Amino acid sequence: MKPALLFLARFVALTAPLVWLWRAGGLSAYHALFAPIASAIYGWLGCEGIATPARDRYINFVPFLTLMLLTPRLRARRRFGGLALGLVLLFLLHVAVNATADRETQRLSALASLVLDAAPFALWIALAREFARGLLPRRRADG
Amino acid sequence: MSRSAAWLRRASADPTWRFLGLFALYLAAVGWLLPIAMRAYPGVTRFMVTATAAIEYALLAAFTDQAARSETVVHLGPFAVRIIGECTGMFEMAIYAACVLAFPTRWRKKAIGLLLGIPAIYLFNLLRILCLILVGRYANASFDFFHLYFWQGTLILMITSVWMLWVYLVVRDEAGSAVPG
Repeated sequence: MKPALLFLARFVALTAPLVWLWRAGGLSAYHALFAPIASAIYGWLGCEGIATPARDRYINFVPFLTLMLLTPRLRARRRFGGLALGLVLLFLLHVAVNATADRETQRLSALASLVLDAAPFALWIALAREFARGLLPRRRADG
Repeated sequence: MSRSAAWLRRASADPTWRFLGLFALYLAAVGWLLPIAMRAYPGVTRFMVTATAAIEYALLAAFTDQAARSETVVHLGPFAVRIIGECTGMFEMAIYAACVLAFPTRWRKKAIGLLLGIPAIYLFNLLRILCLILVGRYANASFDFFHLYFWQGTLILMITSVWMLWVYLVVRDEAGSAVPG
């Protein structure tokens, strides 16, 4: 139990400066990078008039980064390779989710919001599989 | 057998991919049903919002006479917050429920996970809002930071910690090593 509590404490401690950095300029920098690439992708796909209603949730980079950095017993290649792949996947998810928003109200659906909120957790389980395997039983129990 | 079929077979045999596949399915189902249920039973959402506001007010009023409430707005001195649907922790509960339902264990243990975990998430959520109200009242300049921190920054922490606690305490005997070490 103690290692789990330590993990949670580290998560709380590392998330705070990352959220601060995100507010201090991370979001602006990300948006400056995101907007032209996303526009190019939308243009290539023939989509027009897509805004960025998912902007408030771009911060889901932070919990993903924290989880990947703090997960114990991950090999460096898995940790940093997974981190890089996860960040690219989150970027693509932001591009995709913005395109699903209601064109008139520019609001995200509940499903899109849930997907954005759950993405860091799902990506962490997928990319830190060595750790996740320790949580999941080998064989499926009945039920 | 084609390569994609072989890959799918290997992936479904891997507990991690199986969990993620089921998690995605349950999340999609919940995400699809939630707005339908909210439209069909607007009273439930209204009740949850009003109840959350009433509990926050009661918690504050126990310690200070600066607290006040009008419907879904909670005041602490000059600072006021409006409780909205998202403040009730519905999304967090939905993600947590998908995590528990996707986990390969007995339905009895899943039921325990839902019955104890969802109220735990709600309690965590009440604590988050309480902290935000206190920050808004006494350190207003930091409110935006804490709003972001408590909303998105610790959302996953809240879900992951309750989920891992359930795995550790309830499903422990079936899992591999269960907790980070």
